[in-house]
Amino acid sequence: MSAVVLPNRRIEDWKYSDLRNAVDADVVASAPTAAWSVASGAADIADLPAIMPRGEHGAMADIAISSAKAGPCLRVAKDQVAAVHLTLSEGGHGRALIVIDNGA
Amino acid sequence: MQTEDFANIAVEIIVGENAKFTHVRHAPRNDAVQVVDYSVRVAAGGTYRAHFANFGGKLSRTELHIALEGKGAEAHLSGVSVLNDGHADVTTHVTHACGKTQSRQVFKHVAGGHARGVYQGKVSVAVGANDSDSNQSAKGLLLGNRAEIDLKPELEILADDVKCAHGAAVGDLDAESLFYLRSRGIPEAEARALLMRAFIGDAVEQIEDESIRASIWQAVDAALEGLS
Repeated sequence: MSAVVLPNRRIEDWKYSDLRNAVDADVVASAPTAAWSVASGAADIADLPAIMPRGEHGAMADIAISSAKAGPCLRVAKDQVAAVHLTLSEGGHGRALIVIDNGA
Repeated sequence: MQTEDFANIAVEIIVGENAKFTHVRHAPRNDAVQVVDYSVRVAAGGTYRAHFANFGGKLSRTELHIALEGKGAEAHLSGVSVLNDGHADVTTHVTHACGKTQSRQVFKHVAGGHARGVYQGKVSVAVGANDSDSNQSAKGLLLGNRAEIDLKPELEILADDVKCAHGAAVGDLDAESLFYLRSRGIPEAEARALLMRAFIGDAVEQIEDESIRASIWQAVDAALEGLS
């Protein structure tokens, strides 16, 4: 039995989108880290920092954050203008960080 | 379902002071389950613009958690879903943590066949965040008896002096408008497409970049052609 508990329609936020009926919990538990392809203009690309900023997220993001082992970190420096194309090339759990510096 | 048909993504976005970030997400039609969760923090004077185009999946959910953290911070969100089957859910939570902040939301769903479109939008105005200005509009167009659209705008206001508006409406194509176009010699299919395009128009037109807007229109037109 999988340890992952998926949001379902008994949870108010997921009332109209029953994830438990759409995907098997074992698929979620065994999903690998997602792969990205990044085409960037003037943005700096790096790996995710060890300590990530953490804003408000939903229930599934907690699973993504704990399961994804890597992801891109994009930074647009002050006064720069950059066009970045971020594509998910393989499914799974993923994380990314995008920082737009002051005035960028 | 295989693991490659599943994606669960968490993205942190930080928009600095007086910075501008325009974010466009195009989710083409697929059979996958995708949950994408964006947490966005906007500092004073910063602007976050986001545009979402969704053409359905087995279950596609986009969650946005936006915190307007400094004076003059703005968030402008728009989205369209054109679904012939499948499920597309946009759930937003905008927090006006500071006064003199602004948020705008325009979301349009078109659902035919067995499709289901969902919009849940919550706007929270924190204690003391006076002069916050928020407007959310969600509309749905149902094209069949088996399609479903659920729209749920919400407001939580803990400040005294704010301007917050919200609206939601779901309906069918206007029979009088359709009759008018047909009486001018426009074939029914073309008349329906014209009305659907007009319905979606104000959400797509929020995209400032001309080439991106044109590519989204192209995808919308292709999806409208496939509607039953």
